[in-house]
Amino acid sequence: MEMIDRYVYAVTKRLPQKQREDIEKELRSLIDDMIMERCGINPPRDKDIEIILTELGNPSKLAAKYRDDNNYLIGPEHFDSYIFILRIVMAAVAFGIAVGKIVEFFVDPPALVIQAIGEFFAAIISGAFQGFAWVTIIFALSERYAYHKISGLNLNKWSVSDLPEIPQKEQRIKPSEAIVGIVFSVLFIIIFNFSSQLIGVYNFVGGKLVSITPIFSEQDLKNFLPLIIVIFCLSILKECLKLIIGKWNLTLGIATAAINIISLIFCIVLFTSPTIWNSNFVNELNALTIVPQDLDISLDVLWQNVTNGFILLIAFGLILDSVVSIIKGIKYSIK
Amino acid sequence: MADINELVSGLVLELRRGTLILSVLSQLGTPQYGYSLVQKLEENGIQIDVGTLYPLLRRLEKQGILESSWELADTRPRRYYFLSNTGKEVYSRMCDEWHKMVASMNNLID
Repeated sequence: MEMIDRYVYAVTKRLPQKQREDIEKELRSLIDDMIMERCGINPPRDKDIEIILTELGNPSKLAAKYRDDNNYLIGPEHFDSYIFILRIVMAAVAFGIAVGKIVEFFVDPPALVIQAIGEFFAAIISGAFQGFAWVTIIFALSERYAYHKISGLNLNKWSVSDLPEIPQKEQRIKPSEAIVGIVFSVLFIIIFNFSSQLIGVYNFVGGKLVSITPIFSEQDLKNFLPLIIVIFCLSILKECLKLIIGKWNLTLGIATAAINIISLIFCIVLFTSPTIWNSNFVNELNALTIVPQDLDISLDVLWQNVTNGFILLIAFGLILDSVVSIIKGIKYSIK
Repeated sequence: MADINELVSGLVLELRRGTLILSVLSQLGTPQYGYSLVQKLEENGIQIDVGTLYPLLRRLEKQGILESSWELADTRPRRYYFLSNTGKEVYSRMCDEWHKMVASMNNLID
């Protein structure tokens, strides 16, 4: 009899709480019927019970038949895009961390090489796990709560006119371009987050790195970090849209331009902050003997021009990208 | 190449699967509990796995085709299933479909 309890438990523990009691009652009455059928009024032997339970089959399979909801994390309809996104994210994270770590090794050579190599792989593996976990969590949540409501409609209402047009050759956006963009954004997020002191002028003496003069004020950069991350996330969003839409059209052109303008506003806020630049930059550079003394203009003026020019350069780049995107969008929307 | 008997028995299983619900509904004009249903079907040459039948009964009940109630029989409580009004309508329509299908199939294969 104990075997029956164990069998019933093995089935019901895999079922939702509210169905358990009912199914347990029914299952027991079924097993009783089967015993009756087999043994009549004689008390059943263990052997009989064993045969009956074997006939009922694997408890996890039986439970699966009772449960009619999806017992998977990410369904077959979503699986392809899941793997696709997962690959991109894993590549971006691994590449970003690897580059960051390698630069760090050269800048700040570790005392123990073996330990550094260990840390290198540990960082990549833990980063990859993080990426894996987040992508999986997001997909699982959308599978459970959103997906069927949204695409269930789409799937049922599908008609031939929904078939996408085959894009012209130049209209297509290569996934690799967008992926490279995403990878670099992730790389920059990692660098700004963990090793912003690496962004600067590298001073070499006789082929050996002696110091780095940071371009940004480390303290101020920390305060602005959320804004910086938002700017790069906007860029990732832009590349994701390109990946999903896959070809130039008006929607994508306008969306790209809109994202660029928001990024530009954030960049202006960021780089016009008087404290973002390393205020000691010129002094630090002057203190090094490697600066050529026969420069026509003073470093002060040069630095001033660079910082002012920087924001202009970013503005120019973003506006150009917006205009080009909109032109491409219009071009391919008109037949 | 798979054994021909194996192929046939696999295909027969698939064919039978489609007829399962109709076989079950046909016997539920009068209330039956799960195991008596298995036996009734078996008497008529329809093999059904109990592990398939019980979840199927619950699903049909959830869809409103069957109704059920716990009743005491032979001193033991059992859950009796029977066709609901919707179920009766569904069953008669399914029978029509079945006859049509049989006729078409006979035309095809004879």
